[in-house]
Amino acid sequence: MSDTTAGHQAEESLFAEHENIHPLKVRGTFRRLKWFFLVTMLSAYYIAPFLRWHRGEGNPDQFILIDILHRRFYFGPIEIWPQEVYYFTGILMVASLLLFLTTALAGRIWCGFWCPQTIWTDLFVMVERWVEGDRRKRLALDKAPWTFDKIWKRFLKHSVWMVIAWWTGGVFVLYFADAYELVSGLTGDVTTFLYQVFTLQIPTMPDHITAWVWIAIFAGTTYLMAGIAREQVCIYMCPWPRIQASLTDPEALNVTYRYDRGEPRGSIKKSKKLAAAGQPTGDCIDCNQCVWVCPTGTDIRKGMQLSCINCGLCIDACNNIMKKVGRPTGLIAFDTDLNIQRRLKGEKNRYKPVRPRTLIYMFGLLVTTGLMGWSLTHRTVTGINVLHDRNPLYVEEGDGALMNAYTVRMLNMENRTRHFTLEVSGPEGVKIKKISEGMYVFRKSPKGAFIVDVKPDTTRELRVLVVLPAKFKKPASAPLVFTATDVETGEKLTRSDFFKGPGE
Amino acid sequence: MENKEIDHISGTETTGHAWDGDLKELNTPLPKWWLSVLWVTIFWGIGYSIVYPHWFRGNEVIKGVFDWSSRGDVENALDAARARLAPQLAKLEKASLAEIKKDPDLSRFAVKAGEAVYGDNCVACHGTGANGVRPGSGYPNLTDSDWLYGGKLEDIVETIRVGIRSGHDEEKTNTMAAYGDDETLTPEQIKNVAGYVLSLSGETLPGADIKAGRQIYMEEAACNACHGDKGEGGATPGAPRLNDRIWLFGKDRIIDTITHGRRGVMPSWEKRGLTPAQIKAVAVYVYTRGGGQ
Repeated sequence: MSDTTAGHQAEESLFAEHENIHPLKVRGTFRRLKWFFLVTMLSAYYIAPFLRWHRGEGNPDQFILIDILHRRFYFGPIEIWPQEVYYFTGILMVASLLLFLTTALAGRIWCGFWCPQTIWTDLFVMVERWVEGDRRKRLALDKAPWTFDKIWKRFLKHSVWMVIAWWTGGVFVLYFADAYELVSGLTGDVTTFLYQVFTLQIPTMPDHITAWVWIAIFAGTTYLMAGIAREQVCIYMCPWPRIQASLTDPEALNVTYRYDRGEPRGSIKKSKKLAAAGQPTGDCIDCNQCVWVCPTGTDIRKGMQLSCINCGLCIDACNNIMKKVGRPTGLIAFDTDLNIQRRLKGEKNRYKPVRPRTLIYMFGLLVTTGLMGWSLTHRTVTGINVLHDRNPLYVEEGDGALMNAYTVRMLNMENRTRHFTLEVSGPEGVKIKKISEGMYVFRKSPKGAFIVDVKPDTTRELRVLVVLPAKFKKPASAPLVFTATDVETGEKLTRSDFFKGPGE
Repeated sequence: MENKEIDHISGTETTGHAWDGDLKELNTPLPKWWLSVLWVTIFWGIGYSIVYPHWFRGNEVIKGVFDWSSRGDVENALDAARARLAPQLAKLEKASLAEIKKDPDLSRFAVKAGEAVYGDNCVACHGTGANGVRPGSGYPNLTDSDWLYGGKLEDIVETIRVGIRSGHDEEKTNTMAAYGDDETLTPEQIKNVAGYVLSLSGETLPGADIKAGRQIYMEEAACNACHGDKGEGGATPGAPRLNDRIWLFGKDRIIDTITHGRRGVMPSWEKRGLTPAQIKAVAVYVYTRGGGQ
């Protein structure tokens, strides 16, 4: 590209050379907001696994626990079994709709304030600033030769990063195993585990190599994403900026450089000269502060861009400068391009948060949360599944009776032992002959129905033999309904199947 | 080479060769990192072939540093599985029927273990569903409540252990003589007695004299000595009940059965090498199919 010949247009490379971005320190409203979210969300992440929730004997006491081994997922009072995995679909739908809604209202504020990538990157940059100094010093250090000063600074920075990364992974595994129990069974007590994780030792968990492999994986990705890759993740790896383009519209608030006010830009001296000559001048003094504070290195004055994560730090920087030079703040602000056009035409600003788009998202949110809430409060915490024996479909007894065998699984998701009577109805004369679990045979109640007890939070697989005595008409196939009735509450559960025979 | 030059478009050096006078080639060697990966894999491969079995010497493979083999892996895994199952199998071996009934875990274990043993050893004759190959095939259906040698768990265990006409010292046996082949009865008489036997469960055989048949059943052939006066069976061990609707060798083959006799065989699974625990487990499985008494 260096030597373009006449008539041959320079080919512009699609490859952008990576340059380290060293955001400048800034103070202001949005910086304070970011610190607030950083502290609250990191605290939540680190404290949540240690919150307790008593669930009764035989159940874990951890508030949030994703127990993959026992296939139970606990969220406070809610307990999810694997067959209810659609609740996760619901949570994902709510999360995406919330994301859509915030995008429609104020663009990528998720990216700017709440995304883990943003939060950990912020934390890592804070460490970097603490060790190596602010932007100017860091830029200089990048170029500096490998002196002792550079070596120890780099060593310290990367060490602190790795420590933070290790803690991130160390806490992550506690969401998947009882924080206190897992640890106390293996190391004596939770304090030992925490002591080991927080003093950067590999926890002594000989039987739980998985745990520290996961710690290592999450430590590694945290270090890589928040320390090394940073804004590269937002610009090149993350699908969200691509998707977001189709979710936003001109009415959404975005961090906007108000070029109607700022242009033509120029230094204070230059603009004074222009003003003196009667030429139009803008408020932007071209100080580049907005670019230097940006965590992704964006020049917001070029308009809305894929790399902008809507964090508002450039607003803080610009406002500080405007105050210093005695011009009104808000040259960069959460605004829309539509408003700029309106102002250029001399019209009034307008912001319309209520639009068909936001209404649809809110409606979707209401429907999804409503459905989830309804199904959570109305879900059956008991279940009955029936599986007809496939081979043989039926057995003809010596006395001419017909027998069908079923595998019946009773589910009890409650925290108390439940007793059920199990009955069948179907072709005339059909009745249960025997209910057994292995060699154990269930007894009948005085009223003549079989009683089955199911322990708390378990399932029980039964073998049920159903007979049709010889004197009754034998069907080739007839519907058969199993009814389980809770002895204490009278709650009824039914499941349909078939009773098979040779036919007449 | 002395003819090297810098290509002005790409900025890359040429190799120095020229074909057809002016056709030159850019020198773009493989990246260093790529080459180093190649070298690493080569050295890795050499190390690997030393550590793990790789080279042949005559008919055998040199075993490598760790003496590792995939067969050894399988054997270790099997040993581990056996060791894991051993305590429960030992418990099952000692447990009585009442103890198995009381212990749901042991009971479940027995059914699952028994299912595996059944699948490996019994399906060939008794079928995957334990209901015989087909009705009347001569292989007993184990899901109904009709038992030749007893349907209690202890009886089932014993039958599986010693077998029928198996050559075991304690083998069980029954005798259905060949009344036609050894000329005890004429074909006419056989037809009559078959008609009588069918009449016990309400069936008819056209052309059979039931009265004459009863006479033969009770006196001349003395079928009742084993099958009972009313055909209730079990007067001697293994004598089938004749007044129900279950026909081990087929309802349409009764004349055949009386003429040629029957000599059903079941192997002794003790002789075939099943452990007492395995025998008990498969007995529990069979018992729970539907017919256990």
